Amino acid sequence: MSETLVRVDQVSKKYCRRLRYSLRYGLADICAEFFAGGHNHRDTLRPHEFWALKNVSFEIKRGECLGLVGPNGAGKSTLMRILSGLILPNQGNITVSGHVRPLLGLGIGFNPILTGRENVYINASFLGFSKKQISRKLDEIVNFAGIESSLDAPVQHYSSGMRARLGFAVALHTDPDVLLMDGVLAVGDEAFRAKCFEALTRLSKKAAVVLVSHSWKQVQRMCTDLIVLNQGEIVFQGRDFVQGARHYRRLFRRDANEDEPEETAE
Amino acid sequence: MWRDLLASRELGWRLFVRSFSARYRRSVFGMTWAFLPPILTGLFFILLQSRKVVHFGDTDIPYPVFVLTGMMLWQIFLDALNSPLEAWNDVKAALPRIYFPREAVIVSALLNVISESLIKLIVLAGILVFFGVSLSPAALCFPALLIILILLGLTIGLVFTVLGQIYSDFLSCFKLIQPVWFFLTPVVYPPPEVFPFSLITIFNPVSPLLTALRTVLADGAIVPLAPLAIVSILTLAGFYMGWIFYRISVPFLIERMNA
Repeated sequence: MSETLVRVDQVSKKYCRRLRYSLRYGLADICAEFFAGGHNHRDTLRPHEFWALKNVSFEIKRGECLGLVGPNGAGKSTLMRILSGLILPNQGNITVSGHVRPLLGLGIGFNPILTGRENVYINASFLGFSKKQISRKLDEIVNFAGIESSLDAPVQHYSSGMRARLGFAVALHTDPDVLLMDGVLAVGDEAFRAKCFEALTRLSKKAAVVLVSHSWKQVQRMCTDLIVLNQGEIVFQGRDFVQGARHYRRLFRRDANEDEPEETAE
Repeated sequence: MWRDLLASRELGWRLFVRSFSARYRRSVFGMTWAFLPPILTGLFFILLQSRKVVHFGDTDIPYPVFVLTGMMLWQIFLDALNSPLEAWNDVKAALPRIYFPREAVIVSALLNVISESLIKLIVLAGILVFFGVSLSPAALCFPALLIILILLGLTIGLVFTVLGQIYSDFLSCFKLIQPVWFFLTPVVYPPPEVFPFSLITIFNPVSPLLTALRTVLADGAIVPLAPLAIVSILTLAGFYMGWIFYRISVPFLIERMNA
């Protein structure tokens, strides 16, 4: 039960602030990769670039839940996107084993014209599930989302809460080994949120979970490990939540005292 | 890479079913839209030729058969050309949020083109029967050649889709070349043999494919094999390269998309 499911080793990622440069670098990087088979400017910053993540390393074992906190623009979502395989890091290595379920947004791939039932199948196939596997779980999913009566209505007639609930239900019932959640715990009404929380707690016992949240209470309740990020760098890492809270709070005090948040690498 | 292709079958199929049923559920005339445009354009050219408004030169087969076959094939090529962009736009919302085998976009694009082509081919078969054209044994090459034609369109469309996600100029250019390309391809006129115009049969990769497809279907005459072989090999190689290019590009494109 204690195998390491996520290993992140010295990962760095750079972004570009200016659109014009970003597009030019994008084309240059694609061409470099395609024709020369290698990243260009792997370690150096080109004009208007900055490190969105710098030398981030951590490990998560099964049964652990990592809370990722930090102010806006700290690199939390970038890290989540790298973990889910959407974008590639400029430096460093990442190994993720088992089924990864990113919950970076709910109701991915819902087509408004199709019915709820059809959309469940499509949504689940994005998560890598076959039709047969979903047919077995359909009742459970629908039950959890509480939308039995409107299952065969087109999704465009759903309320936004219903849509989010359906998306959440699908993701929760796909038995992930690694669950990545980025600000998705704030959907639905009070009752549904409690239900989600319960399901997540159960799930986090047998999976590795990464939770990005701005709610310190939520992180404290759910997580076993903590990383405080600020401007792409780890400020605090460990299991001591009291110590972590101090670092986390200090970040906001410092930012509040400055007129402008400091700009890295500009 | 091949493993990803295998892994994306299921999702590719789902995406295809989704776009197919979403396309036709909101439409009264449904599949008519798959074949009506090329037929109407074809009829327009038949009218022009029969009223002697323009003269496109003499064809080996009756001009209506020539034009309608050509228009159907050209439309299949256009469908293939535009299918990657449509498939990409279909999943654009999901792309920056969830990882799935990127090949699913290509698979669903391919399935979309094939399904639309089948509708067109059924109508085309009806047209051939109506004009009393009998198929020759050479028509057996038709499916293989058609796949090459579709892959050619798909490859070009895929590369433009990727580049167009970075600079929109590529998409504008992509839309611009399509009508121009139509007139540079022997769709409504026989392949020219006089020097400056005959260049289009050499440098336009669609030209030998389309001519060959039409010939094996309605004419049965021998088609020049050399250009056909060159285009076929280049298409297969190009498709493979385009696929790699697409795979490499996706993470860079997602970086520049808003989640």
